[in-house]
Amino acid sequence: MRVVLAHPTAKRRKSFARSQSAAAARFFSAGWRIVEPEEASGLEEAFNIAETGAPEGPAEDGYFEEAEVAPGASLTKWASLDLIQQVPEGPISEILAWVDGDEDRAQAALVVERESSARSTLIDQLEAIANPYDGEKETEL
Amino acid sequence: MSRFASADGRPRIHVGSGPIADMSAPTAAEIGGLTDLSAFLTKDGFSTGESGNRAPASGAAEKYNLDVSGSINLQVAMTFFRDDENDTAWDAFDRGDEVYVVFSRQGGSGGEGAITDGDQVEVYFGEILDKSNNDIAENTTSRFTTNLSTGAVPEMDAVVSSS
Repeated sequence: MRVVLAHPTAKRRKSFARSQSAAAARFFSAGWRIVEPEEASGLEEAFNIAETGAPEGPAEDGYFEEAEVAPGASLTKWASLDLIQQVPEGPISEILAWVDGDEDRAQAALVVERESSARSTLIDQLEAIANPYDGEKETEL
Repeated sequence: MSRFASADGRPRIHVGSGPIADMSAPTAAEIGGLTDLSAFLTKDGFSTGESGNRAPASGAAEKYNLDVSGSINLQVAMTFFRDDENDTAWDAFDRGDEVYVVFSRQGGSGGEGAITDGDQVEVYFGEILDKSNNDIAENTTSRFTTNLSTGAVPEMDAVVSSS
């Protein structure tokens, strides 16, 4: 996917690959605006989204996921693409065994499960592991 | 996606000694300091003649001749009308002059197609090699052709900046 900029006033567009980021910066400085990817607010973010589908975050590839953890609240968590690719296929017990209480693994497994079987029992258990502070967090004084 | 006619009302061309500080981002003021020869440019009057060369990379034991990219040649040529009242294009430069050429292939977004901030342009720099009057011919307007040396790496994707 390339980054597309639009002329400030005329009906003209120009697309840029990451290797052309210097030229893109010139046009951006001259007033051209980002039209693809739409959600980008800056050039660097636009190139990141164009390459990985993720606006920012760790250097590794991965996914952002909006997770509903409580009514009216949402949590955006980062799931590593490496971990996503390691999530095993199989029964719930096997997946939970692989997660083994790890928040990052649970988040990666959530991404996979929601995209595939969406087993509610597994999703509930993975959410509990991935978002351990859902709701109030008790603090010992 | 919108294709556009290459020579029907759009192109704009400015030629002059400049200077242009940054060929990749000329300012509107720098372009304004050149001579606007848009009205004198013939419809087939601008060519860049870019051609890439190949460097053979295969040995005697290889059937296919593979090659890698080599040097690039550029041959900018412009053709302008002569005018018996205001011979502006002919008077704008002499052989040996070092000039900048700012060419807007899509036309400017300013009033009446003028080049303005944010417009994409091509910027060339070189020495005027010749000024060759075209052969006279029946029912043909008088014109001349001039060739430009390649004095600097051209900027094909320059954009007009405000500063």
